[in-house]
Amino acid sequence: MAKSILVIDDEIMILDAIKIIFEDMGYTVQTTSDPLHGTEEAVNKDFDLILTDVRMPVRNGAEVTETVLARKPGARILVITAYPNDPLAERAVRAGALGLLKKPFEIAKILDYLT
Amino acid sequence: MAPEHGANLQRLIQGSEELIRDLELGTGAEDSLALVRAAEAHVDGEPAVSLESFSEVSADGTVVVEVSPDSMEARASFHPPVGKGNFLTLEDAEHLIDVRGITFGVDWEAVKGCILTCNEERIDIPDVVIARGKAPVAEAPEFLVLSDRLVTPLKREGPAGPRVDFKELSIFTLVRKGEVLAELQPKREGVMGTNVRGAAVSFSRERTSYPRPGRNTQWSDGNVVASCDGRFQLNADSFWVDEVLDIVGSVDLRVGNIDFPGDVVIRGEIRDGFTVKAGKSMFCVGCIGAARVVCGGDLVTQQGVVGKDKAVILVGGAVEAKFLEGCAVDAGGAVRIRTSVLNSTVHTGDRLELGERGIVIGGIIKAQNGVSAAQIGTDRGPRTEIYCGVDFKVEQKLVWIRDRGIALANRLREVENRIKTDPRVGPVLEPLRVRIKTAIHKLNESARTLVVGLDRNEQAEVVAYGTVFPGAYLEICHISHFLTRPVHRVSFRLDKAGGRIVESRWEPSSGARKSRAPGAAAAAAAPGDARSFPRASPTASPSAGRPRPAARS
Repeated sequence: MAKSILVIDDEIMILDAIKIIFEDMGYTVQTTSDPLHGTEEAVNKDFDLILTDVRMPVRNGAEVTETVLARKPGARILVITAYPNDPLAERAVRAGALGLLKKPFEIAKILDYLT
Repeated sequence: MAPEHGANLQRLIQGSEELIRDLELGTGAEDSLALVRAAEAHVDGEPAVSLESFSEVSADGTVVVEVSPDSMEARASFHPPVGKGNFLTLEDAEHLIDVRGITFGVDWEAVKGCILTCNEERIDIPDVVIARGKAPVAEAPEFLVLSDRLVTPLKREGPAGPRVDFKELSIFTLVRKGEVLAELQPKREGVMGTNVRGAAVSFSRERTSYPRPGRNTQWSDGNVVASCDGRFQLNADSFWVDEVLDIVGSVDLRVGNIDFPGDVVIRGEIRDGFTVKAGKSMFCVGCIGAARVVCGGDLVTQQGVVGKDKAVILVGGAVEAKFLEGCAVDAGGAVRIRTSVLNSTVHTGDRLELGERGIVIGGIIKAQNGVSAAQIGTDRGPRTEIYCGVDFKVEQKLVWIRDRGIALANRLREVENRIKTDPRVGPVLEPLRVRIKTAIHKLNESARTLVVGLDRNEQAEVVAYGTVFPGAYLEICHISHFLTRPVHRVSFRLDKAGGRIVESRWEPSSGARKSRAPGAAAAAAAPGDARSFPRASPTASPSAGRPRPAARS
């Protein structure tokens, strides 16, 4: 069975690119630009990897990470950020995110965490 | 009375009075017979002269011929007849030329022309060459002629000329291996000459002096060619090729940009805006400004780089400097900096090593085998990012693939939306859609191949023998680590099983060690230029296994 990825990002172009590229690689990719919906999906479904942007309206990536891990401790989350020193990114990692992805995304790092 | 009339009258009076005075003095004016006796004495014995003779003076035309001392040239002066004198004739001239013994190289047309002009216009024609000998041709030995490109001075356009980038006008003549430097001209045989008197003139033997081929040159098919890439050098005695380009001063407008295939030594600075490329190593005594430096070997500078956020340093081997500031450095080997790396991007395939008081503040460091410094970050300065364990060159390729993948994905989405909203364009756009998908697939295959072969060093470590300040971001083999408090004398390593970075206290094992100077260029460094780079442990091998980020416990 193909491994699955959930991507939460308010930038549609990034969502489309990740979906097309990683589906071509054989993964199942679900995307959403709504962090609230994304949080529910992450909690209610099983994904091998969850990618979430840090800076989003309504709910930021640190809050998504905290909420998901509070309700589903085993979730594997990578945080997408333009600046690794972003305090929100740091907060997400302290909350239990596996690590950071530099924007728009890093192919090698995603594949590393999916292997 | 007109002035000239007055003068004539004066001359008449004066002349008359002189005559009268002579007679009076010689004979005595009071004795009339004495005058008769004097006249008789004066004319006694003289032939009678016809009265006609007093009316006009006449002379024949003449020619004067002279032969030069070396007998290689004869000249003539032509004088016209006077009064009823005879015209100058060709026979007169022939006779005189014959008398002078001139038998070779006579320009008879010139002689005839001069006689005609002289007779008709009654003018003197002086000093005309009427005969020339044939000069001998000296015998010349074989000799070398340097290629035009090597001896023609560089042309620089003046202010009125087209715009010229003087940085591109290098004063050095660079040659490639096998390039023809000089051609051998064969020996020239001597040829006898003849003087105007018809006698043979022997030829001389030239003694040609020319520069001889020297170091890094060789003979090939009668030519002298360069036996290596390098700088062409020439003096009065010799020409040769230097494998090392030695620039006595700075790289500035006087020198221009440099692209040299061998080693380059710069005794001054590399100024802002200039480009220096060396096929091998480079040694620079002074500072490197906002310049572009590319070298295949090592780069050693006794000072540092003041890059003003514009300097780009691309080095195949190692880098040694006192400091880096506002620059981007890509080095295949280790980067050893004595004092500071400030707001710079440093990529190295080995380690970034700083001196025992060396600091890293701001910027992005990607060092496959790790970093060692006294201080990383500051308590209130710019954030510092350090990435270790991964081959940055492969990462650069993956970024390139990713960016093209994103562009193609967006184009694919656009095409699919058009097909969905307007089915009539389907037949036209469908082949394009398939081609885009194929291209994306190819990119992804390449990315997978690169990721599988991505050289990771899970032994990479970040060592601080001083303080690491909060705000510094560390990543080893894709595992993130934030500093939330200052830590001292610490080593950061990958805990592969735990999928995290662990801190341990760093203890100097062998004290401060002196660095090994990298490569040939370092050999040129000033003696006594000692610097120390303490290390926590020996440099880990980049081929030491491929760690995978483990699941968080």
